[in-house]
Amino acid sequence: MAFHATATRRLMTEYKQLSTQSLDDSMFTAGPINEQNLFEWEALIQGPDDTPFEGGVFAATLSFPKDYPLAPFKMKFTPPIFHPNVYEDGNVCISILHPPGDDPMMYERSSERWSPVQSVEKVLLSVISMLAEPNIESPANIDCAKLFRIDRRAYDDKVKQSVIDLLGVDEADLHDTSTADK
Amino acid sequence: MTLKLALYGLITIASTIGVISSAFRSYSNFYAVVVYLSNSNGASLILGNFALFTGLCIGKVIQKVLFGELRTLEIEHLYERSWYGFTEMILAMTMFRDDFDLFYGLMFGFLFFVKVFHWLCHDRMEYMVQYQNASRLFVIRMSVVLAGLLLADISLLSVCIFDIYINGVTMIILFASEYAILLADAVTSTVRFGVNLVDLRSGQAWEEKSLYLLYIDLFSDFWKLCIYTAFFGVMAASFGLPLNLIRDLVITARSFTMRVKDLQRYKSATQNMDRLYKAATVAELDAMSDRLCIICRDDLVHASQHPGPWPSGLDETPKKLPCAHIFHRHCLKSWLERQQTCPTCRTSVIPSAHTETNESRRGATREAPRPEPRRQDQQREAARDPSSESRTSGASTSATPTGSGEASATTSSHAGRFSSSSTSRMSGTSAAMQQHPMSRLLHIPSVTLPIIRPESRSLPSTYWRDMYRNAARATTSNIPSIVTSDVSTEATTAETVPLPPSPPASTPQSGLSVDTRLSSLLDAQSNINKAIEDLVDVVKDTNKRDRRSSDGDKTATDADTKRARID
Repeated sequence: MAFHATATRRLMTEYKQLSTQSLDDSMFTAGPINEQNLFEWEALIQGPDDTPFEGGVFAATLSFPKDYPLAPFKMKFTPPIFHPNVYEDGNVCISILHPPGDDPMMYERSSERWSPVQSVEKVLLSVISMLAEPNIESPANIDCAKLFRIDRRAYDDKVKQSVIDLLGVDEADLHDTSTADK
Repeated sequence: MTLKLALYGLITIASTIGVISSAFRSYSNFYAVVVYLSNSNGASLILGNFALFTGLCIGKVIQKVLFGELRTLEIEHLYERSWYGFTEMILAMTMFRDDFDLFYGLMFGFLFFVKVFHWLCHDRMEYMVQYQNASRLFVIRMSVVLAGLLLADISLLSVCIFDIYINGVTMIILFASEYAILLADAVTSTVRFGVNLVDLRSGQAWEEKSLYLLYIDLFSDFWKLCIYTAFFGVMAASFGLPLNLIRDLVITARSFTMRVKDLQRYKSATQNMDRLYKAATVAELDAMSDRLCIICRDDLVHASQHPGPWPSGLDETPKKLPCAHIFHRHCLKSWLERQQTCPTCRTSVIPSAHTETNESRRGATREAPRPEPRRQDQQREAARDPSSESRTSGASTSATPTGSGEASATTSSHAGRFSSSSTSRMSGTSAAMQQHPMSRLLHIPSVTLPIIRPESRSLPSTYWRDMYRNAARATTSNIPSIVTSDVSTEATTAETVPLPPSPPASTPQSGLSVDTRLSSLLDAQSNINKAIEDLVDVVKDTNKRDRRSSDGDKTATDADTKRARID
């Protein structure tokens, strides 16, 4: 399978490239869940600093199509996170992960969409910046976008709470560890 | 799951045994028992349930033998499709006025049974492609499944057609069409299986494969479309408009037209690849910051530096697109099969289409400089790109040669495109500068004042300032020419080359009284002021100084002219 061979090679290259980078100050890690199957990856993303997501670590699965890199992969936060551009089931809605071609709604320009130039690394960086700056013009989670637009403080609090819930610690512990670090 | 099934089985078997034994107890002979069982609603319900359970068990056994363990995805798909299939069948049945008797019940059950295996087969095909699985066991299993499905479809289809031939159009036509569609599916799956098998077994990449697959899909869609249309026609003729079919018909028709279009575009982009896109030279490859094909992230090697066949078996000749981006031939081809644009900069690669879009873009700018905001966005994007790259590379030290080189390539291409498009924009806007209505009013010949549209506000501010300056100069220099003398008119027109001589209507020879001329002058003055206000709105922030000075000039000259008139 021509597609498949290309996809495997390309995924291998990307994986190698990602794993040879120093991971200390990287904001994410990504790699196949099982090296037998290069088409299912898991990514861990750090919440960017100075945002309500700060301190959180978010897991996501990346599912690659067999014709990668001609078609984009899918990204799903497991468990789902509360963010205007993430569906309630965890799927990420970001324009560079939308298949190329003309958007029937003419909403997104084709230059914003997937192309083989993109890569796991670039997409994850985009997702990190999306965490910091949601695009509320095309929200996936309407309620969240509404909250973000109307009451930013409530949104921040809710996100912070969800991060704390996700980490499975209560706030006191979080403070303790952060002070202990200092 | 198995526990539930066992429980369900236990209940079913127990109830069936109960019903049959009670029937035997109450009726003396076998015949009476059968009559009772078939007439009593409760008893037939329990027997039907038993049949369902038996079907389920047989299905499970077949699945275990021929498919093995199902993947989660397959189970998910199965549930999803079952719902759709079931509801659609029920909907379709409402079209008919036949009694839903035991025969149809059995037919329905069997159709469903066969369908489930088609779906599984379909998913297994995907699995085969995705996981490169062509083990002996898999191939044997799939062959048996496909043969069985083909056999079942053909025999049932012929039974149905025979029945229609004998009894005319009844509900059986629904089954006939379903089996015809399933047969199309099964044939497609078989051919796909064959293609995939050959591909996997050969061990070498098979470049023409995607084209074959495209043809297979095209054929399958065509077949389905024919069946749907035929069925639709028959149904509409003998029963009424089959509403439930419209969806399928539209979906299939759309998919078919899409595939035909794809094929056309594919053909136009890939057929003449060698003629359209030149192979990159060694020098061109050396000039690249990183000699990587952006699609597969593998090295680009010139054919001369690589004697013999390519190791992957694919044609890895580096090919250059009109936009100067270089890719492996086979990578480029597989991308062009989907999108006929450059993967890096998204310029169209089909020469005719390329010039066409340029033309249309120019046309669009002439009408209204609409794409401007987009361009600015693009520019901003290009400006943001490197910053984000540097920021992230600062954070993650991810600036591997690939990453940074790529980014620079992207931005430079952005910039390149922007500059080329900006030249076209300039020519476009000069066309957009039609004669302003005001110039006619004032009898100022061909002062090219831009027509202000909200979209064009995003033009560079200097552009507007220059425009405004020119316009202001032209108007101020022209106003004296209206009222003073012919000599000065000649002088001013000679001075500002593009201005033809001013029309005679407003020259002093027209014989109007001083008052009327003065009032018309004042009118003109107010018009100018209004127009200038308009312009000033647009360029308020950039040229306050200009406005003041030119206004001052104007009032000065106006005062002069007024004095001259009164004299």
